[in-house]
Amino acid sequence: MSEDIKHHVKIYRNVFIILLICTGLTVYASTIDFNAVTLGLFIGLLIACIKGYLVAANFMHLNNEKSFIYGTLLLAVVFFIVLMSIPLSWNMNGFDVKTDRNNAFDEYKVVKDNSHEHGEEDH
Amino acid sequence: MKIPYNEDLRPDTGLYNAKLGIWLFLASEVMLFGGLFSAYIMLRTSDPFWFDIKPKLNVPLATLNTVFLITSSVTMVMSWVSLKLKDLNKFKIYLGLTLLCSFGFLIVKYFEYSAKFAHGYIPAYSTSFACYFTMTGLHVLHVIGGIVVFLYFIGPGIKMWNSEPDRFTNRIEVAGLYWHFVDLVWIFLFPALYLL
Repeated sequence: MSEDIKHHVKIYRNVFIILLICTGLTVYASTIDFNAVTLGLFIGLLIACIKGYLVAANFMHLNNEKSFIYGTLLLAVVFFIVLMSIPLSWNMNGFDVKTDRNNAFDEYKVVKDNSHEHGEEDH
Repeated sequence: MKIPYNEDLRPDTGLYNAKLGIWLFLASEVMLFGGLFSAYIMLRTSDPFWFDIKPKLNVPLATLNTVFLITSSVTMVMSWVSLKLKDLNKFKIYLGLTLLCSFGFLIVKYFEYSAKFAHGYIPAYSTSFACYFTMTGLHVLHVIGGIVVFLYFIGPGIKMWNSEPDRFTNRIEVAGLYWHFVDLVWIFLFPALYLL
């Protein structure tokens, strides 16, 4: 038991060091001027995912947990994916948010492109 | 009457009750922050002025806060390890360090928010600042919630160690799971709001 815990302590220490390095990498990556915005976004989120995995797998012990917990989390993951897919489907359906701002405190005007006019014609 | 499965594992789930409870709670938290992240993506992709916020945010302070939270996650898990090794003094030291880091996080956040307010960058300033304050504000509330729990465990709650040490160890594990989740959320908030 004691040896097992000492082994875990070593893992915690190593994960801590990796997390600090990854934090430095994330900050450094944000200063690089990638030609494509999506590439910068991808790298930033990739490092965040690695850090998230390290915390969840080691500190929250998800790498060695009971199957009941995995089942519970699976449902949350499915709904999370649905939530993340909403913005994508929203963009694909032709919605567009336009802003008209003369100064910083102006209200944002949300315009649903074409849909209003088309909708009225349909009626 | 003794509440069953506070220390022993339930035969059907293989878990003690509090652990199942905290994981269900964390699953609901995934939904809460998931909804906010979903709204964040939607608002960000449709706001041409979003990048106005980037030079106004303090990346070094946010990086310091990341270090605070990562450190607190390690000290939290070490406090649980200390209890497993039956070392109450080390537990107090590690939980104290966790509290110190969490207060450090709040102090940094206070300076960050103060600077924003002083320059007029309130939530009504822009969509990006509304998102920034909503997401970081909710996260700060979670940090405060964690601090309250830690203060209880290092204060009056520690008496349980004398009567029911295993149950107390389980409580610390459950509090730790919550705290690691708070750290996890920040790991994604930090690049999403400050860096990308």
